[in-house]
Amino acid sequence: MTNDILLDIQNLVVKFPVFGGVLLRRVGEVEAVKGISFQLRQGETLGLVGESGCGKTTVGRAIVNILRAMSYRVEINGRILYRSASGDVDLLPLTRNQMRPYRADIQMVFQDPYSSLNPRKTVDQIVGEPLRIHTKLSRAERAERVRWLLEKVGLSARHVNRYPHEFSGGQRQRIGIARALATNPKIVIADEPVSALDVSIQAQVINLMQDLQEEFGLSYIFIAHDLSVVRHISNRIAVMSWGNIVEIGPAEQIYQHPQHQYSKTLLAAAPRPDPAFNRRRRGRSLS
Amino acid sequence: MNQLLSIRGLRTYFYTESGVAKAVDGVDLDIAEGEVLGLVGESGSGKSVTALSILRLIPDPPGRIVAGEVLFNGRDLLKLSWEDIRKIRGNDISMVFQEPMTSLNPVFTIGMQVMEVILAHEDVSREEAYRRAVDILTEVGIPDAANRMNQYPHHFSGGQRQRVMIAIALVLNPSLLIADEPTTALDVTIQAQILDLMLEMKERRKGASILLITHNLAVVAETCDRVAVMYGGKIQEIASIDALFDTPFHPYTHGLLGSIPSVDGTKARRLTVIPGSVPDIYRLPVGCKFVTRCPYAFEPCPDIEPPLIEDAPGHWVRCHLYPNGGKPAVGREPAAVGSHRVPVAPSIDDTLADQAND
Repeated sequence: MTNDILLDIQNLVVKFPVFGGVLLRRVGEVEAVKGISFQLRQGETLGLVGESGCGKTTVGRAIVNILRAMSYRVEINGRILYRSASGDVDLLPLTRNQMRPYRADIQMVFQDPYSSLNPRKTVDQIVGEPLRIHTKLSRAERAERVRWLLEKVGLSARHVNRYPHEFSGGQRQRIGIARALATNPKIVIADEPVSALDVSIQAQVINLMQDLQEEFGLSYIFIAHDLSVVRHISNRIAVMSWGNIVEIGPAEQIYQHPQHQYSKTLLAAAPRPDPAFNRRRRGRSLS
Repeated sequence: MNQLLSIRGLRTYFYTESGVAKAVDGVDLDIAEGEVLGLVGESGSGKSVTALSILRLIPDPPGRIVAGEVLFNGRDLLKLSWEDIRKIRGNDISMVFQEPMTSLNPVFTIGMQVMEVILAHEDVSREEAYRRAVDILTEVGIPDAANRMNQYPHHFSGGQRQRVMIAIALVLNPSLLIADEPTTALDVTIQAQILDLMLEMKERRKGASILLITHNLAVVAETCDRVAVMYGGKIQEIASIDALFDTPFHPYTHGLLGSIPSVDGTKARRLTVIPGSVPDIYRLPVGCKFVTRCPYAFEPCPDIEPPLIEDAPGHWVRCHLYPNGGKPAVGREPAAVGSHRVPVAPSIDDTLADQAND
C-alpha cells in the first residue's frame, strides 16, 4: 500500500426525486448521500459500513457512474476525481461514451451471485464480455484470458461452456470476481460480496479477494454491513449513517477506539463468537 | 432438568423428480425446560426442516416425515390428528420466521392478526382478545400499541414487524418458541434488540424454552445455553456453548469457527477455510457426511457413518476420531492427529471438478 491517492471523492451529494399525485409530479426528494468526502489510496481496502438505507450502496454506484442510468432525474453533485494513467479526470459529468475508457479501470462485484450473472450466457461469454467491449483482443486471445482468469479465481478452465445455474453460490461469486478482473482494473467496488454466502464459503471468497489484491495491486472499496468481515479485510474504514460519513480512519483505530457515538453503538451491537465475552457484557448491562 | 421436547430418529425426506432428498436423516435432540438451544448449520443442512417437522409444517407432497418421534410432554406429535396438532401450534409450541416482511398478512391490521391467534385457540370475547393483544404488543415494545392495532404491516419497520411476530408467537404463553433465523434480515443494532427481547420474554415466562435456528455462530454465542451443529441432515455435535467455542470436537465445527472473522482480538491475515462446498443433497456420502471436505478424513470415513457419542459429559460428537478420552482430537494442524491417518479428502479443485462433471 502506498499513499498515492487513486480516487478523491469531494462533497458528493445524491438526491433521489420523489414523484407523487395523479400527474406524478416531483413532490419531494430523498437526500441519500449528504455531501461526503473521502479518498481511496493505491492498493488499500477501504471498508464502507453502515446499516441498510445509510447510503453506502449509492456511494458505490455513484463512483461507477451508473446512478443516472438506474434512476430517473437523480441529482448528483460534487466531484469524483480519478487519477487515471492519462491524468486526473472528474468522472461525475462524463457521458456514457466518455465514461467507457474508465470503466475498464473501475469494476464492480455485486451482492447477489444469482441475479448478477445472465442465466442465458455461458461463463465464457460472461467473463469475456468486458474483454469484447474494452479490449481489441481476438476471439482466441479472449478465450485464453477467460481460462486464465477462471483458474485465478479457483475454478477449472473446463467450466467455460457451463451456465450460471450449474454452479453453487460461492462458485458464482468467483465468476463475478473473474468478470470484474477481466480488464485489469485498478479499483474494484465490492457491494456486499459475501453476505449472501454460507459462512464456510464466505471465508473462501474473502481469502480469494485478499490474494488477488496482493497479486494485482488492486484497491478495494468494500461495502458491507457485517462488521467482522469489514474489519478483517479493510485497512481503513468509513462508518456511514443517514447519508454522512460519521467517522473514518484506520481499521484498528475505529474498532478499538471508536470516537463517534454511532460507531460505538454499531460495534456494541455486533454479536461476538465468544460466550465468555457475552456473559461479561450482559453482566455489565444488568448492573 | 426435565426434558420438554425429545426428538428421536427423525427422518424427513423430500420425494422430487431429481430423486429423494434426505433433508433430515436421523436427528436426536432434547430441549430441556427453560433452556435456549441453538441449532446451527449452513444452508441445506436440514436445520429448518427439523424445526418444521416438529410442528408438522412440512409440505406434503413432496415432503414426508418417514420415521421418528417428537415427544412433547409425553405425547408423540407425529401421531396426533390434524385437529390435535392445530391445538398444539400457537398454544404450546409457536414459531417465528425469518422474513418479517412476508410472514404478516399485508391486508389485515396488526390488531386483527394478533387477535386471530387468541380467538382461534381460546373461548374469549373480542373485547378480551383486544385487551390482551394491546397488552402483548406493549410488552414487546411497540409504543402506543392501542393506536397501532389499527395499522397495517407496511406501517411498521422491519424490526417492529419482528416484534409483532414475537407478540403473536408468545400471546398464548407457549412453553416452546421455535425461532427460525429471526434476525437474519435485520440490521445489527435491531438484531441485538430482537435477541434481547426474545430472552427477556423467555425470562418472564418461567420454564419456557427457545429453539433458535441460525447460521450465525456469533448469534448463538450471544443467546444460547447449548448448541447442536447440523450438517448433511444429521447432528454432528452437541455441547454447552462454552465447550463448543473453547474445545470444539468435530472437524466441521472447528472449521466453522475458523471461518468467522473476529470483530475484536487478534487479527489473522488469512481465515482458515473449509475447502469445497456442501455436497449435493441427492448424493450425500454413504459414511460421514463431512468426508468430502474434512482434512482429517481417514480410512473408515467414506464408508461407515460414525455414531453420535458422548465423549465428555454433555458433549456429543459424530466422528471416527472419537472416543478420544473427552479431549478434542482436532487442532491447528491436521498432521498433529497422527500419521497413521490417510487423508482421503479431495482438494478444492477436485471437488469443484467433480461437481461440474456430475
